[in-house]
Amino acid sequence: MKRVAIVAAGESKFGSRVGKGYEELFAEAFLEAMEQVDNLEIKDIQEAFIGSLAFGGSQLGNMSALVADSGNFIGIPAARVENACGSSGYALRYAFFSIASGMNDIVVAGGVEKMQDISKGTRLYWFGVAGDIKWERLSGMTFPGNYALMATRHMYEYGTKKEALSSVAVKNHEFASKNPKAQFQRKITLEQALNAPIVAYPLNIYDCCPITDGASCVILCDLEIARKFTDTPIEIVGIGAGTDYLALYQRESITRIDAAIKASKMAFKMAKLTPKDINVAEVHDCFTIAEILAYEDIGFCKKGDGGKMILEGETTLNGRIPVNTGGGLKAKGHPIGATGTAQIYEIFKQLRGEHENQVPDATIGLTHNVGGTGSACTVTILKKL
Amino acid sequence: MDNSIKILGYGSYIPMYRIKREEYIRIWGYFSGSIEEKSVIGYDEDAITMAVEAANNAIKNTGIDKEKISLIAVGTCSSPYSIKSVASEIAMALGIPLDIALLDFKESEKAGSTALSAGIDIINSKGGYGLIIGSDSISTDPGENSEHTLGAAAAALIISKSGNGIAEILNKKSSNIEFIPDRFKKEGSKNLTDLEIASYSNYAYKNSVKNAMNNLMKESNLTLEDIDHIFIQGHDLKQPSRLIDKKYKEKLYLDIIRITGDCGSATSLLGLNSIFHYRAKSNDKIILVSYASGAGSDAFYIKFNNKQQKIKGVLTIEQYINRKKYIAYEKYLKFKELIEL
Amino acid sequence: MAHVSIPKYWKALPQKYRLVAGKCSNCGELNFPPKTLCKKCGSQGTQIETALSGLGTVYSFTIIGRGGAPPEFAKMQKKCGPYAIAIVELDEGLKINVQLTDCDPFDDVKIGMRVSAVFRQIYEQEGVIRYGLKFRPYIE
Repeated sequence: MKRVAIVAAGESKFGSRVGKGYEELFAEAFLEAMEQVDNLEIKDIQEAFIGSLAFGGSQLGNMSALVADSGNFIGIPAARVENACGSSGYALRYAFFSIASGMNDIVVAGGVEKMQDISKGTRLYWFGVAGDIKWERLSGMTFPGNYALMATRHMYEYGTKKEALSSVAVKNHEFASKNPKAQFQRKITLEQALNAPIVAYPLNIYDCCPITDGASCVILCDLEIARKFTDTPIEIVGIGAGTDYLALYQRESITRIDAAIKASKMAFKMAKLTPKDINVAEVHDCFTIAEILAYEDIGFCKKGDGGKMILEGETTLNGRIPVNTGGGLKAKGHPIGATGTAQIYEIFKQLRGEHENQVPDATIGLTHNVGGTGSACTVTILKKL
Repeated sequence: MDNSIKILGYGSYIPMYRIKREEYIRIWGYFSGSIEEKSVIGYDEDAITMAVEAANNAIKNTGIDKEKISLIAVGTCSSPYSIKSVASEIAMALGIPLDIALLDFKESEKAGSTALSAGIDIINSKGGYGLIIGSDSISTDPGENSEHTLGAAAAALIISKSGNGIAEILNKKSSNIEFIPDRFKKEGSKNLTDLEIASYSNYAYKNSVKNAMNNLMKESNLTLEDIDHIFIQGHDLKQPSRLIDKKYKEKLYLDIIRITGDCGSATSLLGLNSIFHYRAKSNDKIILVSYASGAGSDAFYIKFNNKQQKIKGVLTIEQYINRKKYIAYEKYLKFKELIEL
Repeated sequence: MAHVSIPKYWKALPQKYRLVAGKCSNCGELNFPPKTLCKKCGSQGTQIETALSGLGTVYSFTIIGRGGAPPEFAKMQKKCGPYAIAIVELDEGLKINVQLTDCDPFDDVKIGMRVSAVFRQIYEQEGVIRYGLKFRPYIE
């Protein structure tokens, strides 16, 4: 298997991008990436994997051709990859395989999502048809509701407090306040986070990620040629993935995401590393409880101690393992199909020493990207060379 | 009737929401009718869901095999559908075979007793078990006086030709006189119309009920003296009460109406259930009479044998009565969709 | 509006109305809904129709805030406001996701409480009322 490096990463501004469609958003991300590399032209790119859930709601199929057009790389093999919010994490996985197998030398992986164009009713419909139709949908369940079920149970099984959930939001807003690309750049207080209106008890609006337009993209290549394009390539040393039942009620436990546990173990094994080796991480905090579960599933702390971990400040910039230094999904934003590679963007910057919330001497980073309520997950470990 | 029909068991359903007459007085300044409160369907209920629960209770209380049910006769005049069988929905909801007689009666506010009357004759000839249900949550314009007493409930009986019944129906008779209706609903209209021609209305009521009752008692060689319990369907407590002589008033048991209000097609069967539960003793004689304007009355003579066993998890009429939550008029309007949502 | 067609809704009726599970004739495992391959032993044998009792315990729950209901539940939410949804662990060991009714979502719902199935309106689409089961606090 060949070794794979990331030589560039780009990201559009996240948020309410009125007047900008998928084409402009993807081009924004793609061009930022292309500007970071020397000696690499668009015509050198050999394949593209793009993640997107609904692509603005107007294009059911053949989205890849439209994205290829936007990046001026029509002609090369390109395909949309879909695993709900875990789409671009999987896009990266397939890009990795295509280089590791020796098939390609230079590949693009990314994602784009345009969510603010559509009415609330349509959006709730999208989220609904991405979930379990048989029971969950027809019980009046919503996407926040599903994570709320996990939160209620976690609070019951481990005594996790609401303060722990709200602290995740406060931390991530703090990080995002320094991120010019973030959707929300204002800090919030614990008071605000605790007392916001209920969305799905026990989650309130400050426990839920926003509706975001955005795109991200990453350029991968064979490690052997990486230094032609950049002085600081970052290597993908571990990559893992997993799936689980779509519906929560089908799973053995709802206080952990088995797909994430599986993906983490796979990635650490491949990289020959342990959770203690990670200096900085981006995890999938679509809801605050999801970040707490991530700490436990990845192995940053013992099962049940996720709440304690955040309350003790272990994941702030000065903590044992800073998490979501870009603001996370909560404050930076969650353009569904683009989130996976947007997390890679943050870790890429961290490992090159270019981050707004720089973790000193960050050498090894991890991303954790989940689809839906955990029916899919990818975990990627990156290392500074 | 040539032979008696056994009532193997019964089931009731009353929604948990209640509204007090004081709420009406708060909003309208008065209350039209002599009940204290009435039951209100919840935001996810209708005549069909109530019928399903009452029927399920009746089946569980008797412990019969669903496969042996040969008839479902359901009376309602407030089904959400005007063309669609309620009986078939009940059969599907409860897993009862669908190749049996599935009959809907929707002709009037006494459709439950029509269902019972027809059901008796059908079971007499067909055999098997008959599941008889009455269920209603009638609505009309919130500004109408008739709206005040309209409540919600469902009640069911399991009848058969043989077996050990908790009671037996020994005779039935319907009234034989004609009256033009003064309370009705036109096809295509959303609401019940009550012309409120008080004296005419009372006259028709009195004659219809009395004729049915008297013909029934005469045929069965009974006088009011012999009867232990009477239930007469009415819109409130006063209306039936006026028909019975002071001497016999204590035989009248209308207490359920005090709580549920006027529940249309369910009223007569629910009234019977309340007598079975609260009042009747072995060998007691019961007269049950229904009434609807533009339809008439059905009267039944029933003999009580023994109380029904309480089954765990199957609520009795008393448990439904005690399970309550009072709501304000604003919520009432929303639950009954009396305002545009 | 999520489009669950009549045929799709109808196909699941035995589960939605009567909690019919498939008992594997090979290993006895309850598959809910009945599956082609038994989830435990993988056998392709017949799954015997078994109606579950409709009794269970609340395993976890959430309360959907006002205005948060999916479109087909928007009308219902206008009537009732916030409503509770729970994962109920049925006495037979299976879990399902259902709406709770006849109780106050904030005051009454607790993990561990006993609940029982009741037949209620779920929502309306294409003019057809979709009925199904919700759960309410169990009364003996």
